[in-house]
Amino acid sequence: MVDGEEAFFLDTSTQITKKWEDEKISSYLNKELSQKPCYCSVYVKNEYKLNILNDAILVHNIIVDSGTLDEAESRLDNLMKQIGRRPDELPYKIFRRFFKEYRRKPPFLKKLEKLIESEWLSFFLGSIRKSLFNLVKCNSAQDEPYKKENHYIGITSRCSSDCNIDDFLKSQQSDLNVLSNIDNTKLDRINDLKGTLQKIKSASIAFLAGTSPNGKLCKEMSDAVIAIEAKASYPQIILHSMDSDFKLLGKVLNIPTCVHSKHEILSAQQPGGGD
Amino acid sequence: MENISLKYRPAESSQENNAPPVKDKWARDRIIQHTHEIDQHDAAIRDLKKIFKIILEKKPNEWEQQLISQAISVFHPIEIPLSIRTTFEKLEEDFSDFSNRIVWCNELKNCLSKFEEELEEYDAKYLSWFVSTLKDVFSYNYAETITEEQLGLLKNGIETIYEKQENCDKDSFVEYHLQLVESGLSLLPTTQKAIDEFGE
Repeated sequence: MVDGEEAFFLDTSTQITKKWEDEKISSYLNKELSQKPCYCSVYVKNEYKLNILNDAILVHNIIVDSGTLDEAESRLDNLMKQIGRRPDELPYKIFRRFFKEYRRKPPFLKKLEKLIESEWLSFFLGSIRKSLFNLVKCNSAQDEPYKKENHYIGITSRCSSDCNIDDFLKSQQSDLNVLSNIDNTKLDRINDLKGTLQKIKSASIAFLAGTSPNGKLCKEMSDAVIAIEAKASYPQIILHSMDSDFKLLGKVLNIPTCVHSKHEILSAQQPGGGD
Repeated sequence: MENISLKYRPAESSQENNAPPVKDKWARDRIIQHTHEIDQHDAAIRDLKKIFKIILEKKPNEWEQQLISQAISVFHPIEIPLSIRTTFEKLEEDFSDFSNRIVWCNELKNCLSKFEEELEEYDAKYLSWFVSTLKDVFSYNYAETITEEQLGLLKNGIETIYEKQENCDKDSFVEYHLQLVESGLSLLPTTQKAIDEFGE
């Protein structure tokens, strides 16, 4: 356990926003993050890797598989619509700009190759302490991207059988008791808009009743896993997130939070918005 | 806690093992580089002998054609355009003059972009990564936002491509890329400059 001055713990949404969001938002965030030491975890790194790499690999493979970049762009847009992704979602928003930047397939594919094989990690590691918390010992997303002929094989989100999350959660039983006893009146549509806390409560009850969280259940309670590990690793931690679920989660688990929305950051930059 | 390493560790190079025990790092690096070049030329001569034999005997198949193009590439080493270095020198000289700084940054973007295209012909993956990353800096960042500290980092990158040429490796790229990321330069099209050029 690390101990000392106050520090930020960056969840997956902050990690993605700090480099992939437009500078109006990312520069505000990076200025704030530069005020304190920033920590992160292997668990968050694995979520980040799955998010960024699998999207990059999808774009790469669609381009390889299409006759022209116009065809690839239209296929990607249709697919994203089909799976309910908004055009402003990250990293998809940035990949759409690449289609405007490149007029030929070879340099576009090289750009994606560089991102997939190397750059994603330095975007993740930029400006954080290079020692990552690892109490969870999460071992998902361990495989490195590799090519089968001209296509990349996606990173699997399946957890391996030797996952240690059971042991981690057993060691943090008091937090699980708190989560399993969240007052249902707090889990209304205002406080728990996406129903995330409700899912975490159910998963905590299931775990305490003896169900292993390995796999699907782990994904359902991933925000809780991130928060509990951060608190257990560094007592003076402040959870930094762009995901509103962490506001309530922090209150329930008694962890200080710094949660922003993009809208709030943009408003703060308006004249009279109080930067 | 897990200490994360960015290092890519290939098997130890036989050239390094065979290098004489010279203590001076600079001299040792040059010897390793020259040993590598001599090995490349020896291999190329061996390949050429094979090629001449094949050409004399029969029409080359696909594998043999590949061998021919590899051997040819050894005798056509990558020439890094001098314009990249000279333009960068002009940028350094005129760094405090914002209007000229804009001109040289734009010129550098064009030189690097042209060279990146030329590199498509060669098997020089990591050199091409360095070149495209430097180009991205000038594509995505306004000239007037670049600081002197960042300029120093860019100089290191330009020097690396001239010094290491096709011997640029993944380790040095990864280390350099992280330095650029931490310096605050945008390496993704997230800036107003990029939005103006490529759309929201």
